[in-house]
Amino acid sequence: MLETRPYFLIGDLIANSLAGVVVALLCSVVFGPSWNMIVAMFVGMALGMFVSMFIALPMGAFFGAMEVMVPVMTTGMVAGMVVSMGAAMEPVPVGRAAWLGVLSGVGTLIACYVADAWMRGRAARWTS
Amino acid sequence: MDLVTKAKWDRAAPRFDLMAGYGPEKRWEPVKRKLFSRMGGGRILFLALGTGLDVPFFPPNRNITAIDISDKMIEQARPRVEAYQGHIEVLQMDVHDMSFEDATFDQVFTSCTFCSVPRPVEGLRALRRVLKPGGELHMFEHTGSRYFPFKLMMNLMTPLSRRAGPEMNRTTVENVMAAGFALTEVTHVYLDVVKTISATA
Repeated sequence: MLETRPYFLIGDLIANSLAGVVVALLCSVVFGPSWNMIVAMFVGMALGMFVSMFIALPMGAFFGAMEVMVPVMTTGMVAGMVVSMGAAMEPVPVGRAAWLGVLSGVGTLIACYVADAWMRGRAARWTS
Repeated sequence: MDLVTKAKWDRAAPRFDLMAGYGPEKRWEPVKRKLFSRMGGGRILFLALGTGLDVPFFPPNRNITAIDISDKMIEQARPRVEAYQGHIEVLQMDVHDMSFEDATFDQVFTSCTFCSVPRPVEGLRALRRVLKPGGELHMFEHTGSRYFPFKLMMNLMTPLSRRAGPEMNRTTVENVMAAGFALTEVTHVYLDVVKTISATA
């Protein structure tokens, strides 16, 4: 059954938004117009995943293990990619970076919920 | 006994409940209760006990033998084991080196175990040995994913995570089949990462 308990739904939202904002702000500081956009994208993705892992650990203690870690690290990757590419074109102000971080977090969370619903059906192929 | 694995879990024992005791257990409680409700009246092996976080989800009045490689984990588990309304015998034992006779148990249950067993197929073969013919294996496990970007993340995380505890990219369903079990059911709990696996020996 898909997650419907408010405590965990709100927890997922908080964890992913927080990871998105932290990674986005960090990337807006680290990357700038002197970076090649493609290089910035890959470095931003890796940096985002790495940083978000340290957000997933304490959040996981309150809201779940893999259910927090997987979307939060994906959020880190997405926020890192979006903001580092943007920053390679022109400086990203703090407010805009935070907003992009929240959008990355919420968007990734929704994508993970959709993927979860789809993958649950796939388990049937293992069942005899 | 695998002393490296034992030392790793001995180190983790004092802080284990801090990380795993609330969020993960609350989130997984309905699924674990449903899985453990399959515990029958015969002899049951539970692997690995850890700090006993799963014990409150066991149905009462069962005859359970619980093993764990870490004596420090077992120490932490004592209060939960003593509070159980039934019989749990706790033994310090490595799944790779179990002293049970062949065909001892009717059922084996595992909970987030085969992310950490160093040689998973050998460990599963050892479980098959101690199960009676036709005996049941029921597992609650997290595994790697087949899908991008989750697969990539799990693979990148594993070199870090295995230092402190579990591996994130195990292929446990395939390992169960490789160990000679007949798969009867796989249920995805979260994505294709957290799942229940049932099989017969």
